[in-house]
Amino acid sequence: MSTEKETFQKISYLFEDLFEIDPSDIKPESNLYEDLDIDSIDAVDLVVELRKMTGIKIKPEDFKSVRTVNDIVEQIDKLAA
Amino acid sequence: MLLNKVNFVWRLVATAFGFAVFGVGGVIIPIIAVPILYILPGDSLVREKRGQKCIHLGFKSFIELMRLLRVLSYDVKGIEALRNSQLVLANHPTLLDVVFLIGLIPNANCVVKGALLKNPCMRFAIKSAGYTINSGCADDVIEQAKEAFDKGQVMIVFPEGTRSIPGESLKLKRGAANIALRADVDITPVTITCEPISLTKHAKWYNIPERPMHFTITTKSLIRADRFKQEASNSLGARALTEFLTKYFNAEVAVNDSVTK
Repeated sequence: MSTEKETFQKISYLFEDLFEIDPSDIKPESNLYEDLDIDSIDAVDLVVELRKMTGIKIKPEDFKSVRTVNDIVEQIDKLAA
Repeated sequence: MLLNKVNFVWRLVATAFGFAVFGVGGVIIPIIAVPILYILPGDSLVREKRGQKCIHLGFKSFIELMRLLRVLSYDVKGIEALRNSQLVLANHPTLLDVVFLIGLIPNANCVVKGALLKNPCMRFAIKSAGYTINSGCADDVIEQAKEAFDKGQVMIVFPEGTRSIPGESLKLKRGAANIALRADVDITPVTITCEPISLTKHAKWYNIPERPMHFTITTKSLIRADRFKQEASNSLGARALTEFLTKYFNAEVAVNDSVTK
């Protein structure tokens, strides 16, 4: 499994645990705010959890431009690289 | 018939006057009051208290003026409980809701849009009253709310985030539930009704109703937020609480509507 797919899978689980979002609704192109009903407070929680999960020091600024699930995957892989 | 027409024209003129008073007062009063607040002795906490009291008195006077001009009348149920609350959550049918609530609560804090700080008059008034500023940073709003509760202030939040759309069911954002859960405070629900409904979202000021507006502001029994706390995450708790509040407010507002009609 490629890193990209792996990261997507992890994020998918995280969304399910954290926000009880149905995994079948989570697609790479899903818009976090419009399709998955994530709000700004959820985004803060999400960054905290991603930090725990990956061990990478993610700053909220890194996530400013993030709009879709795929954007998170790319951002995480970029920071991990 | 003629009397009705005279009354209508009277209220139209008085409504225009009301908007003018509010607009001009919003500039003149801060210009006079803010420097005095900063000159008077006392620390920033005392200044904040005085600032909130000033806005309270201003809004209270405005409502009384509108009442004397026969533009509106009102009933308040449970004023003591309202003043003793921590987090006040209200539905938001009209433009005057926040004016009423701050006019009823001397130590009210509320969340204001960060964009309002661009207006210099508003900026100093908001700052001196220590209102919670929403600059788009969610955890920052929650921190400011916690501080307000520690200072014994009453936080007013409209969970819909904006005025309701008439005829549609209320849609709540999760911010209010998040404040309740993360700051660990109970909720005082307040319902606001306006009969005949007026000053709604997108309504023009001159579209006044056929008779004076009557506001009913009712303080309901406390909702304990800790019942909704969830081990797994605050995000889930906030979802559950928001779902509960959405049902609660929709039911309460529907009951009010059927009583008044």
